[in-house]
Amino acid sequence: MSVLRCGDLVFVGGLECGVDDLFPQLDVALRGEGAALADLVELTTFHADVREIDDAFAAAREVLPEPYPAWTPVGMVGGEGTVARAIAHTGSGEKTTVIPDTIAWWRSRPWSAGCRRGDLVAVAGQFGTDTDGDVVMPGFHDGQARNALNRVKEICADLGAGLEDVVDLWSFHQDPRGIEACLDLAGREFFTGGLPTWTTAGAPALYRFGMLGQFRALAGPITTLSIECREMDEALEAIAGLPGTLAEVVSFHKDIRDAEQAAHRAAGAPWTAVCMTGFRAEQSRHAVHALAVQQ
Amino acid sequence: VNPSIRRADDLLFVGGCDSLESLARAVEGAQLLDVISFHTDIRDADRVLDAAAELFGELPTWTVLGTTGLPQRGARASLRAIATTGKSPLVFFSSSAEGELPSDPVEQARAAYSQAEEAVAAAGGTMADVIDICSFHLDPRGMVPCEQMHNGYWGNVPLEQAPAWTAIGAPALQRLGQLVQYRMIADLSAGARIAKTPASLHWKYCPISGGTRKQGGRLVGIAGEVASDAEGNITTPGDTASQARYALNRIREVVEMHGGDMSDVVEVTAFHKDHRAWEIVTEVAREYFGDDGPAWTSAGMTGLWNPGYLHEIYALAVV
Repeated sequence: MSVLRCGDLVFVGGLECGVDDLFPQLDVALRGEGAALADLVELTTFHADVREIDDAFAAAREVLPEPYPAWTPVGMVGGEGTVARAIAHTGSGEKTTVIPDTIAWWRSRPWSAGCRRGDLVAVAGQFGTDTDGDVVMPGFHDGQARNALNRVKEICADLGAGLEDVVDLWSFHQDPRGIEACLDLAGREFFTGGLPTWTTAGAPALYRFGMLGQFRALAGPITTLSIECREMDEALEAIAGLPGTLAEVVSFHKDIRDAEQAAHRAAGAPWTAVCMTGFRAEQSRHAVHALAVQQ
Repeated sequence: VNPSIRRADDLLFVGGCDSLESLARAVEGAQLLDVISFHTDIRDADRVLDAAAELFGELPTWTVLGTTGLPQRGARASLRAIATTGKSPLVFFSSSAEGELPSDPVEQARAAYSQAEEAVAAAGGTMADVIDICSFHLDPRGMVPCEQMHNGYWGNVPLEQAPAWTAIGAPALQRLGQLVQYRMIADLSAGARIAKTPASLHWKYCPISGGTRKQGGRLVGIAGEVASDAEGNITTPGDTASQARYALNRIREVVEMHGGDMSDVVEVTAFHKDHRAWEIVTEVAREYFGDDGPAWTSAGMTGLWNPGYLHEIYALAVV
């Protein structure tokens, strides 16, 4: 695990532990940089078995103070327990969170659908569900994506932002072959001026049975890049060219042995490496996301 | 968790073993022929193989696969196996990824086929004895060019004599860089292959049967059955129980065309798009098999032939 402070923002990456240790360890990591669990704006947890997500929620209820961060829990391949990365904001101003009525089922869990502090707006991974939590359009990647992206749009608006402010998007798909249809739809119906930096990965499973896609977004004074490649050197080269202060790298790998190697070569910024089931292009072995803070 | 065990003559089918020790107990007194092990973390596989070599002496044909999830929470491995107490005419083959691996899945598939030709010949047979093929692909999109290769390789074989084929996307294979893994069953019993393919199966235009055995043999390899109609449309999008029912109905059709019935199905390996489906599917299976069902293994896999398939149910029957 590593932690980095860039101005008001504190980045935590590469945290690997069981669900019960997740928040105690995050707490220690944040305190080391003068932040606290209450400052968390965004949290992503990757679970070797998505059946553990409810355990993570139970653990969070014990220790995580309200208002809750935008939390994206997603399945990963292999590994033990949970891998996590997070962003905290220690600046002045209220932390604002939202769960719209369209997804009222989120309210019984320790997460927010959207969270804002200062200029940083985080939208937790949205699914194609109705207000009760039932999956809409069973079996259809694009239909579920339309519902989910409408939630992203709605949550952004509730937090005083718009889709045009989104600078970074991650989407997780229960089948990598579902990615293309979702990106087509996103470009046609939501991001008509061009897609934001977008990282896609196939996930072995999502929170609830039948969910096919999960869409998480970030807006704020950050610069991001996303690259799919066969060799990690390509990604490292691209990251080196990213302007600003490199604050975080999240790398997705098609083989867990590659993820292990990537985690070992991590230096400088917090690095989170996980194994997923596939990417936009069949040939890609890695999908790498990097985030820099503008100074 | 107790493994499910099914006997048919001198063959022993074991499904859903959660440890090498329970597998050893299940096959005690029999000769282990074929194992497929599913690992939630592929990095466990080498240690499992080392431990198996210690326990069993010489290893049988062994196929190592990653899985996206198993029925039991916290389970890291599930094993299914075939053993014999007699002298079986069956030959099991599993490809091994050796040397520098090409980045093209078809080249890797060709190499696997060459190995299969050699292995079956060494056992005294030919590829005409292969009744059942399973292939596992690191990316589900890699199945498509491998199907073209399959169609080319078996192009001269009429559908009435084609082998069965099950193709599955897996989240990990044994070696880094490995894109395909093949596992085949050949039956050296006398006579030609007899393949049965119901009209309900959309792949009937390819040299892929619904289920195949040898004229003098009794083992039927049944292609992984899925929820698609005769035109390849998904029958019930997103409906876990209905898709399982549809696939099991196709297995019934194939077994009946071979003169058997569902009680002849001795082993099922159910590949699920989401591992949490296992509970619903095994419940549905009870409608077909009652409590005395086949040896059963459930594993979550990355992708099936069509992105809309929720399960691919691969079965073996002895008729």
